Amino acid sequence: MAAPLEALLLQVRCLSLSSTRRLLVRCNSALVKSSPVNPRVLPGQSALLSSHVQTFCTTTTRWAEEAKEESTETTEKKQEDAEESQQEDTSLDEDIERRQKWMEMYNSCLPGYGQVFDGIPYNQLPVIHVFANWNNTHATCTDSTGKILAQTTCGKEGFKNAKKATSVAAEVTGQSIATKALDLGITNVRLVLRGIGPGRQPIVKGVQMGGVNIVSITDGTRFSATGPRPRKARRI
Amino acid sequence: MIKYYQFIGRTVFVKNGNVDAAYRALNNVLTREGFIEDVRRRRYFEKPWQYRKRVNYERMRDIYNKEMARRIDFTMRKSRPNPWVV
Repeated sequence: MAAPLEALLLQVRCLSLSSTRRLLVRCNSALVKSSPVNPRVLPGQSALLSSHVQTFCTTTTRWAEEAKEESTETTEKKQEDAEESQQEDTSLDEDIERRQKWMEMYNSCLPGYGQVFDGIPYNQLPVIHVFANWNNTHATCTDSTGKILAQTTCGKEGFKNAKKATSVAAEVTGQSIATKALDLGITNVRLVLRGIGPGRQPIVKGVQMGGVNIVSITDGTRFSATGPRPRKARRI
Repeated sequence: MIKYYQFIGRTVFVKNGNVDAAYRALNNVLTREGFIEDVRRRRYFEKPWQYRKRVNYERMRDIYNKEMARRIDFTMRKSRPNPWVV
């Protein structure tokens, strides 16, 4: 009788208040069922433990009664909640309306909201990503989801080494990606510029000369103040 | 929707097919914010002593320029109406 109680008391310290209560109530009921003998009378028990056992029994019985009272209260509350839920149906519709209004307000602040170009809304237009490196310029035509449709670079257009990092090469690349896009049936396009290099502006001109209608220009240059440390300065 | 986020900031729309004006507008905004200069500076690492030297120089230069502009405006002040206003 003593050993399991001691173990219980040790366990009880680790649990939260509500879970201890539940555990002790269950144990008390189990103990009461198993042994009708008064724990005070048992031999080989320390006075402290016996006093603990007394308080344990009294408190757990009290908790059990409280729990019974609470259970009756909860059933009453459930009935009330059921009545309220029928009234809540209308307020749900109001909630939905309010949320839709907020979403509209938020979406209207986004660029290109509601604008349609030849039947395609702005956020579904294809994109031309331009990566203007210091030594080269890449151009990729993608779907609105990011799926690549066409791709070209200055090197692919026949320029080699230092000549890739020129404005002429970038213009030619722009024209090339524009013709590839037109072959796929793309007319309206969003432009995303990444990086600061010699080909940043000329490629825009090249795409325009190629015949594709540029709807918007975005800057997508990657920037990190605390990212990897750049290489050391050149000493020429 | 996630792919849309990159278009929320730093986007300029092209009005009446004037792509050059749109590009220039974007560029002006970025330079005024100091973004392009920052990106160019981060191409190579700037050591702490170089950073401090540059930043102090820029601060002093801005103070000097503001003070000079203030003095010039003061000396050139007039109470008569400006004859060159269009």
